[in-house]
Amino acid sequence: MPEARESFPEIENMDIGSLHERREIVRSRAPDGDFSRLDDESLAELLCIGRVLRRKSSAPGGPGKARKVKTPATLEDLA
Amino acid sequence: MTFEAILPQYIDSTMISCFRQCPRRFYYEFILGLRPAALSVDLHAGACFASTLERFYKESYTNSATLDVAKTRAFGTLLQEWGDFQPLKETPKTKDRVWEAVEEYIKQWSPQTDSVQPFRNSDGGYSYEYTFAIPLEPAFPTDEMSEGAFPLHPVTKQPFLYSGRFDMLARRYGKTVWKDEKTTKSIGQDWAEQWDLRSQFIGYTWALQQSGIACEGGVVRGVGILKTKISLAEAYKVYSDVLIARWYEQLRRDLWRIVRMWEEGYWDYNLADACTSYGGCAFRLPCSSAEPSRWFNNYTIRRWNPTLKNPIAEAVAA
Repeated sequence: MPEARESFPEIENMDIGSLHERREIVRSRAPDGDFSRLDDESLAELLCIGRVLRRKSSAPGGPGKARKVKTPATLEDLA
Repeated sequence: MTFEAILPQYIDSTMISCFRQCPRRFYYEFILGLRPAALSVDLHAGACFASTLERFYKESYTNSATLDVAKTRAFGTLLQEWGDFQPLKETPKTKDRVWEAVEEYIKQWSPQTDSVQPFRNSDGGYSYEYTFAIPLEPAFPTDEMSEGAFPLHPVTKQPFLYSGRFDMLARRYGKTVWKDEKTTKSIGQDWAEQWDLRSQFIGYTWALQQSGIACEGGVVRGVGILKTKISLAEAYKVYSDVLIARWYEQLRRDLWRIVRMWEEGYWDYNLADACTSYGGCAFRLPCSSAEPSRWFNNYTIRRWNPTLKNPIAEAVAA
């Protein structure tokens, strides 16, 4: 399966909010709301969006995985 | 809501297993059709997995689509079948995880290399999901029990139908087999052994033999869906004629018990392990109550249909 950046290069650079919006737009193309009848291009795009969303959501700092990052103390902090 | 007692004409492995564990639960679940209001995520995820995989196979074999195209179209089926289902509690069986499980399954057992291939019909077409409904005969009315015979359904006076479905009628190394996928949470070391005396699978083997198909057993594939891991396993199970005969006789004896309880209007309670296994029986409250029927409005009515991928997909209007 082609990677997102090959078939839909713009998807890789979208933020999570934009990815969700894009997904709803693509889903709305389903004839009579039947996703099993979506065209192959739209389905491939949904698959790519899903993969990128999962990758971005599970990355450090992503939603649900946010961690506080400790910045090293500076000399001014220590003074 | 009205609660109507309907003894189904069909009987399948799930119903018989339930009856053997607790006849009272069988009565609530399969005769009154009572089910907890929340849809089972296990049944839903399992049905979606089966539908998605079947779409993949149809695209691959029947339509000769490439692997990527077949997967893409199968994804569309998953989206459609999953719908807007939201599990009520935390579960690893989310839509995303089910899709990942499909992808892992296809990677492990690709159509090009899978030793299990769909059965080719006489017209050259491929066989996928297989459903059956076989009359259990000879059969007699309750008060004319004849040795070796099954009971007639006490209301319709017709033979009961042993029914079911499995995921694929297939060929494996020159033999015709059934194939069935089992989605689960985890796959332990004794995963394969649990199917040695599995009534469901013995029943599949018997059903194919009854249809004139030489079959000694089949392939069961486990798909373990955890939050961070998808695990896969496969077992080839063969069932001897002795075991099949034993299964058949037990089915016959259990059906007579069901008919007798129906005629008597009393369904035995287990009052033991069945009440607490698998997180606890859904009917503990009515079984604990002096007036069980007062609890019936806590449930919805969904009649079990063994020929559907999701056997409780059909809800009955109140």
